[in-house]
Amino acid sequence: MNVLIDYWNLALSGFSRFIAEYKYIALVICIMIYTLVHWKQYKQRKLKQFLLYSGVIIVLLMIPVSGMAFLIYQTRFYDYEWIWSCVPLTAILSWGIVTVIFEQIPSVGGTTGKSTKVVGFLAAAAILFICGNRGVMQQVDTETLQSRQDGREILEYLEKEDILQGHIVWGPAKIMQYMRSHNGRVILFYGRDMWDAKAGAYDYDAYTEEEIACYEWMEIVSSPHNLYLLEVEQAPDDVHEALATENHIRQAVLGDVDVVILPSQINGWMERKIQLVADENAFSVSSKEVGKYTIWRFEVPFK
Amino acid sequence: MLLTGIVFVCFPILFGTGIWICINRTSSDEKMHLWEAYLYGFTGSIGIFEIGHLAGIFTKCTLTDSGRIITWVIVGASICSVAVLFRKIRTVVNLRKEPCKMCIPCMLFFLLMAVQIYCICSAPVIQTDGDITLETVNSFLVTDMIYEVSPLTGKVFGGAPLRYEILCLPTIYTLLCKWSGLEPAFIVGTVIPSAVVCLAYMAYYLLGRTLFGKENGSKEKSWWFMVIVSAVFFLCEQSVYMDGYGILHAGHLGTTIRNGVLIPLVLYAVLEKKWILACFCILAEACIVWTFWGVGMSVVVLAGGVLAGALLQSQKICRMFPDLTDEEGNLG
Repeated sequence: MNVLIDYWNLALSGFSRFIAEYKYIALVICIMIYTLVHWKQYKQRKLKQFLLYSGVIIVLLMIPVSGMAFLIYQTRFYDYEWIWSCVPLTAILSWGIVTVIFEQIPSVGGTTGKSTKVVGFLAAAAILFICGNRGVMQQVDTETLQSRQDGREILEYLEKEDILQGHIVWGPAKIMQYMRSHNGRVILFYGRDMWDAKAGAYDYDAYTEEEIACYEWMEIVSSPHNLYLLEVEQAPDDVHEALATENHIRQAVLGDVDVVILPSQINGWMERKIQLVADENAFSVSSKEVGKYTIWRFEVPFK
Repeated sequence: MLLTGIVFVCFPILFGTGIWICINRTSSDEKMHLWEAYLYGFTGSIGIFEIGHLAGIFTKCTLTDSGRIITWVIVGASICSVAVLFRKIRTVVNLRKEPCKMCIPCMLFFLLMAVQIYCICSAPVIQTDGDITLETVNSFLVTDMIYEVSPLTGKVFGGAPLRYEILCLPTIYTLLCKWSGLEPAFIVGTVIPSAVVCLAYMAYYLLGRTLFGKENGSKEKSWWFMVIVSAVFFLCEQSVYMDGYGILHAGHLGTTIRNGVLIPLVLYAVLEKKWILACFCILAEACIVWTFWGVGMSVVVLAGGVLAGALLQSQKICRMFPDLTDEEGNLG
């Protein structure tokens, strides 16, 4: 019963989210109403079949009960919005705009000239523009671009020094993500499924509490926001708390991590702690600054 | 690299033409459209790669061996297609009789398409949540095995769900990288999305042609339809669920290929009663999109389309909606 209630809530909240994002749906509904009014004019069977299918499926998706059936069909792995994949929204919208312009514009203007149609298409373009992204396309934010640049520099260094095969790397999430997606030889302490829940669906593995704590610690000490606050001496307590402990580095080394990437800005806090962990495990430790980061490498001395 | 490119452009046409001729061998008046043949070849090629991919999973053979199996199947399919082609050469020669007239909307559409491909090639790739394609391709390349290590960490792992493992897109991309020598990031982020844009427009063109029929001025309307489709792709890309987002920012994903290529193609197949093409699309979706143990969205479209066709011919429905029936008493 609870599962059904969950699906019901998902169908309701999903639909309101969907119409808030996909504003063209109003235009699609207008087109469907227009076709219903002009239904008798359409002689072509294929077109009527397309419109009937589209109309019925849109109504079914808008009704929460049938929407739930679609949600159950596609399974809970996918978000609500994916059930709209079975509606050819782009095709309806494009067919509708062309049809309305070719059927209605000449009668409005009283002529069959091309210029009126051009005006019609310009008006359609304006409506699409206003309802759409208004010319502002999705872009990669500057912070991600910066982390990709940092990741590239670190990866180049590790490749050059041949510190990839057989080594386990631990560092800030975005750096690790870049490295793993650009070189299959990189082995990470934990993967992207740690911070991207959707990526976690692809394997059966789970993380231990210690690994999760290590991830949280790493993100606190490497967050650009926290590093800025540290610089202006306004860092909150949790940053100072994180910088005061070496427990997570110890945990990582026990988890076979031998390459740790940390912001160079916190070298003053980390140097002694990393050395302590290395001494405890009879490792030697070396460091190399690459861009804004320092790569700490633990090695067995006699190796 | 060039050879791989040529094979990947020419093979689907050749293979698709072969399939088309085999399907339509009884009807001599049917004309073949090049793009339709290409899409037959595209969906068929997914099947060929799936064979190699499944061989890799179930026999635990290396990716190189899977690649060899796929190469042999491609060679075999090409020989069969050429043999079929020679027997029915007249059908292919006959494929386009009407002259291709360039009109303003046609030029506008190609301009928009070129701009979109330029955007895909030049803009930094947006990382979609949950997309692990690049990591998977890199893992396959390094280990030369399919799912030997976790794509996310590179460590040996407990395994992925079988329904997910059987999806063949990562194997296709990995083999493309191996054969062409190009970087996985370039293949996954640029080459494949650019190809998917073209495939999506092929599918939409076929659908548009069917919707506007053969009435006067339908050709011009079809091209305007394509212009609006490309405008919608450009302007409607704010969230991952929208067609525009997939086409412009995540063309390598299975969901994008499904929504952008397979769904319009299934609709076209249903409207034109090309059941084999519809089945190809359903199978292609099962090979590229994780539907758990379900059968995917193409089946919904096929079933819905068939049902809509049956409803249009149903006399009972006609009597229920007298306002919508024509003089002959038909709804459709």
